[in-house]
Amino acid sequence: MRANRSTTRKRQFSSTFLVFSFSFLMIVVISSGLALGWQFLMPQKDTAENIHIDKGIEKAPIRITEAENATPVIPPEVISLPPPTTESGKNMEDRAKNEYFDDAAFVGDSITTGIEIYDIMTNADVFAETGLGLYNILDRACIKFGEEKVTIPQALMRTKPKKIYIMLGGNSLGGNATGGYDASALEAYKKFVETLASQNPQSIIYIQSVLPVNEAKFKEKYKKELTNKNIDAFNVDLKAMSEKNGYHYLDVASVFKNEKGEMPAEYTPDGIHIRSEQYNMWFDFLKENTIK
Amino acid sequence: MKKLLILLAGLLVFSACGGKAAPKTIDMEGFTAAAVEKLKEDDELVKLSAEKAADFYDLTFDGLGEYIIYISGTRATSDEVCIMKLADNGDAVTKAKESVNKRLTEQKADYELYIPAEFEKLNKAVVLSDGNYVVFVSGLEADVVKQLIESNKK
Repeated sequence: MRANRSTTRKRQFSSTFLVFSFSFLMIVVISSGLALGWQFLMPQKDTAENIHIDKGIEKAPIRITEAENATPVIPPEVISLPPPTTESGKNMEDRAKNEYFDDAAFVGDSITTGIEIYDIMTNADVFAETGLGLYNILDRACIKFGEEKVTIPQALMRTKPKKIYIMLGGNSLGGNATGGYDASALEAYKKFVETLASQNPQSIIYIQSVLPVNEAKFKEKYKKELTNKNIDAFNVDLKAMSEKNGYHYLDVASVFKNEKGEMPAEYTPDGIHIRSEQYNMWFDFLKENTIK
Repeated sequence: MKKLLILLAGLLVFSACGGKAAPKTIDMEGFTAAAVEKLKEDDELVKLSAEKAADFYDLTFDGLGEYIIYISGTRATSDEVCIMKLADNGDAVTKAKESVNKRLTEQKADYELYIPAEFEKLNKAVVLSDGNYVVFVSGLEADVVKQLIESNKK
């Protein structure tokens, strides 16, 4: 009985083993077939071999020779972004740095005094005074040197700056009977600049345009008129005079004009003077417009 | 008992009449902030650094302690707020007043022909001393300045 039971068990084991072996083989064959079929049917993904990077030039633009529509994964260290630009579209790399103004002097009236009061460019000299105009700037001793007060030309001769930035005229452009600016203003300006140029042959002279005004605010505060028409006319002549005499004209006024060609009301408390934020706009413009 | 009560009453009278109250100090930050707040509608006032304040006000005299000075940044107005704490209420106060008046004279010269309305404001500027403090304000009425000083005493 024992022998018989043992033979039956061996037969049962053999048949079970065959069934399992066959099943296993079938699974292997089907899986392989499916895998091959999948690879054949599906489109190829891009690989690193599709992207040719010129390793000889660091940060060079990446050239893709195949699979134009692919979006390759590129190591971040070789991505080259274009230089950042300012709002005016100029490259930041073209902008002068603050050090450019180390040997600069700013000359002007109350608007220019704000450069010092607001700490806009502390490395530059500011020779300016409230109320200065084209007719008193040569003679008025208003710049402190210790206990002494000197005129602006005297201050410049003492400090010998390499760059002189002038902004003047706003206080001297009252209209005349024909509606234009007073012609003597340009003559006075010319005389002042010629004096500075002859006394400071080492200096680059920048002539900055007269800033526009907000006519309504100006009239409300000062009970008189100063028009952008007059200022624009003066600036046209100032530019011509500058170019004729080899000075560098800077159209700073363009920074402060709205679509109507006037100073936006929010830039100014009284129609003519500018707020702290506008000094930053001014200096952004200066940094983008320098002589090397 | 009666003698004891008389002694106590005497002590009370002595402490009430004989003790001198310590001088009050002015919260300088509080005073200038309140004054600037009243002036800010017309102009942007800028707090001067110590170096610049010394230059604008010629602060070279002895006995000068802390000081806070705000001036017009835009120069559209002659508004100005200044308070100085001096070492004593004698010589130093006199020197501080001289310094303030010199500044006031310069401001008047700048604005007289330039903006006559601001010149008028400077003519009404407040210069006063309170103990060992000197105060100068252009742009606010004297009553307002005095009230601001009182409300910032502690």
